Order: sequence, then C-alpha cells, then structure tokens
Amino acid sequence: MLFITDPLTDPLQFDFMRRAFAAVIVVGLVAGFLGTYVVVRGIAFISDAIAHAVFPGVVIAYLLGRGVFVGAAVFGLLTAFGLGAITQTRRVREDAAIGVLFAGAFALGIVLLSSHQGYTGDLAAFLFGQVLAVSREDILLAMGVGGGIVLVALLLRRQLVAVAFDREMAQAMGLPVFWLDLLLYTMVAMAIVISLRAVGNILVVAMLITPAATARLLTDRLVPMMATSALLGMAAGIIGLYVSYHADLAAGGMIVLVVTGFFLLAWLFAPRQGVLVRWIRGA
Amino acid sequence: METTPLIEFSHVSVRYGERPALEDVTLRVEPGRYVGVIGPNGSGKSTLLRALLGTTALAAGEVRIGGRTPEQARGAFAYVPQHHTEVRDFPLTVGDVVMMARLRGMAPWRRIGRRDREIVAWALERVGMADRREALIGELSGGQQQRVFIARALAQEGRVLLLDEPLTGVDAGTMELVLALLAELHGEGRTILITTHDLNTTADTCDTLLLLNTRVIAYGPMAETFTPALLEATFGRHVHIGEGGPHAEVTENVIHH
Repeated sequence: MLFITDPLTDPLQFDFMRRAFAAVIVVGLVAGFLGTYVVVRGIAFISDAIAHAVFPGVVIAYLLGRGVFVGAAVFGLLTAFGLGAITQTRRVREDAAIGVLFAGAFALGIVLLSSHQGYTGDLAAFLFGQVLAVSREDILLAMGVGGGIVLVALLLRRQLVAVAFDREMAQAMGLPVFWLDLLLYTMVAMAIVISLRAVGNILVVAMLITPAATARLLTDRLVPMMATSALLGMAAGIIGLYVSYHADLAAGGMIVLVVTGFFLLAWLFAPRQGVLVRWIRGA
Repeated sequence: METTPLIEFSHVSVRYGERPALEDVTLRVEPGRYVGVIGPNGSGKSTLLRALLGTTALAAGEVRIGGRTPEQARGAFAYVPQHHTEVRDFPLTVGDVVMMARLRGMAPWRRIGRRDREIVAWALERVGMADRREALIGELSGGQQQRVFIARALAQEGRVLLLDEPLTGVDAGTMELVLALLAELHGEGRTILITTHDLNTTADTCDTLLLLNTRVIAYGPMAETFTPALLEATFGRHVHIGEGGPHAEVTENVIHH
C-alpha cells in the first residue's frame, strides 16, 4: 500500500497531538495578549519572579496528589499579593528582595520534589513542559481561565494602561492603583499557570515577553500590538509543535525558539524600527 | 460653572519613614490665587501637592478643599506631575495621553463620549498641540511633552491647577506659551499652585509666594514675602535681589562666605 503523508495533517491523526495543538493555541493567544501589558508596564522581571514562585505550589499539589492547577493558582495569588505589597512600599532594594525570595521559592520546589521517587523525570516535566501529555481537562481549564484574563484585561484596558504610563497621575485621579497592580500580577500568575504544561516553568516567561516585545517592534499602537502579539504567540506554538513533531525535538523549547526567531527577524527587518532597515536608510 | 474652592491646610505633617517631608503646615489659599511654591530640593514642595491630591498619608493635621476632603474633592484639581525624564518608548498617541484625564470616575464599561473628545480637542488647542494629536508621545521633544501633560491637566476640568516643576528643562518657546496660558487660566478665576526653582519667573508671574523648607518659612503677597531675608531663611544662604525690588534681576547662586 502506498501512503502519501502530508507533513501538515500527519500529526493531526493523533489525539494527543490535537490536544497539544489546542493547548499551544490557547496559551499562545492568552500569554501573547497579556504580554503586551507586561511589556508596556515594564514588569518582565516581576513576571519571571512569579513564574519561579509558582513552582513550589505546583510541586506541593503534585506530591499531595491534588490538581496541579490549584496548587499553582494558590501560590500565584499569594505571590501576586506579596508583590503588590512589596512594590507599594517603593523601597530602593525591592528588586533584590524579589530576586532573593523567588530563587528561594524555586529551591524549595526542587527540594520538595526530590523527596519523591523518580524525581528527575517529574522535574524535567515541570521545568520544561510536557505538552504531549496535556489532557482535555487541562485545555478546558486553560480556555476558561484564559478567556477570563482576556476579558478582564480588555475591559480595564484604559485603567491598566494609565497606571503603566503615569502612576502618579493615575493615583491623583483616584484610580485604585494598588488593586490594579494586584489584578495585573494575578492575571500574569494565572497566565503562567495555564502555560506550565505547554512550555514548562523555565520558559514560560518567554511566552509572555517575547511575542509582545516582537509586536512592539512592528507597531506603535497599543491595540494592534495586543492583536499582533497574540497572533505571534499562537503562530509560534503551532510552528514549534510541528517542528518538534517532525524533528523529534522538545516541544516547549522549540516553541520558545520559534518565538525568539520571530523577535530576531523583527529586530533586524521591522519596517520602522529594524536594525538593518535603519542601517540601510542611514547608509 | 463650578466655583473655585478655598484650600485649607491645618497643622499638616507628612513623613516618609523617619524623615519629615512636611512639618506643621497651616495655610489658606483663597480662590483665584496664583501661588508660587519655592524651596530647596527635598523641602516638601511635591509632597504639599500630593497632600492636596490625597495621594500621600498625613501623619497629622488635615487638608480641606472647599470644606471637603481631598478624596471627595478630586474633581477640583488639574494636575501636572513632575516628569523626571522624557517619555521615549510608549505606544500611545498624544490624544490617548490627554484622554487619560477623562478616566476619573469612569466605569470600565463606559465608552469615550463626544464630550470627552471635545474636551481633549479643546485642551490640545489651548497648548498649541492640536495638530499633533495623532503623533506618538515618544516622538515629541521634552517641551512638547510638557505641553501635552498640561493639556491632560486641562482635560481634567479642575478649577485648581497644581503644577510640579512644569518649567524645568523646557525650551524657551514652551516656557513662554505655558506662562501665557497660566496667566489666562488665572484670569478665568482658577487657583494655581506652581512649584519651581526659578525665582525670576515666580516673581514675575505669581501674586502670592509660599516659601517652604519642610515648614512654612513665609506665605503671603509677593511684595511681603519676596525679600532677601526670607529667601535666605528658606534656602539657607544669601539670595541676592537686584535693584528695583523683587521684579528685577534675581540671582540665586551668590553665596557669601
């Protein structure tokens, strides 16, 4: 018998691949969209910190045999609240405090996990993702939480952007600056939690920052930036997954590599801000 | 039109940690005054404005605006915060930035209305930036950005203007335009509080002076407060006032050993 295999449809014959595609599309869209706020607000570092702090929550829930999502969500919310309090006091050394705390949290997660047998395999799955093991429930949860994030972030777009642009003025106008910060951190924490399965704890920040930073190079307007970033996130997920399937390489890493590739291309060739374009124009 | 409210500080103290920022400040600003607030760096000028806006906690005393608390009186203000650096990279247009002033008390689901657009257009017109409405904020020079921030304050429609160092680092054209605009707004009955380092400009434009160095050193009509002795008490060094009184040449940096 003769099989004609199509590289595009071939992977889709498997249930686990169809689920994986659904997962990376949802994650790419939500993280890409929310990433616009992360980038304009300049909280890439804080997002990284949240990703680390969520880790012990994931491990504890896993060891207790509970839903990993719940554990991560609880730690994510606690972290968001703690960060809201720390950044509110505006101490000079807050970045150092955040760095210390969250490296510590990450270490706690590793130590806890090492108490479990077969620890290296679990660790790899948590750190680098395991998108081929995504369940139907995982996807539905990601869709629900992700939909909520997109809705809230769109509804409060002006308020969130005002705080990002000029905190002092936002405060003077009576905007609830503390609560808006907390809300943003919470949404970042939730976006990280639903992305963990797909790309893992270490690389999850790339899904938040890289598409948005790329979109920023391609457009000067906020709403187009959100749309572009979400599209780039989804595209990276899909392309990364295909490459990973055909070349038999790690999916999470490949997705992040693809989105990093997008960034480098935009950095070089973006119509207005690209390095090469400006160099040619200047020459 | 809403009337311009009376501003009252009674025994107001503010501390940042251990450090006192304002100490026992008591003063009344009658409606329609044009007050220059001067004092050395760290003398509490910005804190004074924040106490009015209700964005800093008071350690003691109270602030009233037309008898109301700062939180109740938010609509009374038009505020230009101090901008330490120019905006370089932010995906917002000039129109977007001015429109932010309309967010006060706006429910998230409410859309921008025709009246909001008209006020933004009017505010940009008054600072001479109507034709730059679609420009990106980061493309503008420091002086142009400052005009946009003043337009944003105007779009708040407050009767009390609070300007924190609005003339620092702006070009001569912007300085002239801003001062003319402030004179007009003052002429329309608004109260203005402006913090500045520039003694010359203050003497030429304001009718009232507040000399501040954590405590109130002096407060009153320009003719009574703009004196070498009081300026020296404020800045802790001799300030030379040229012949012809306060409206003549002033040099701040003459130090007598």
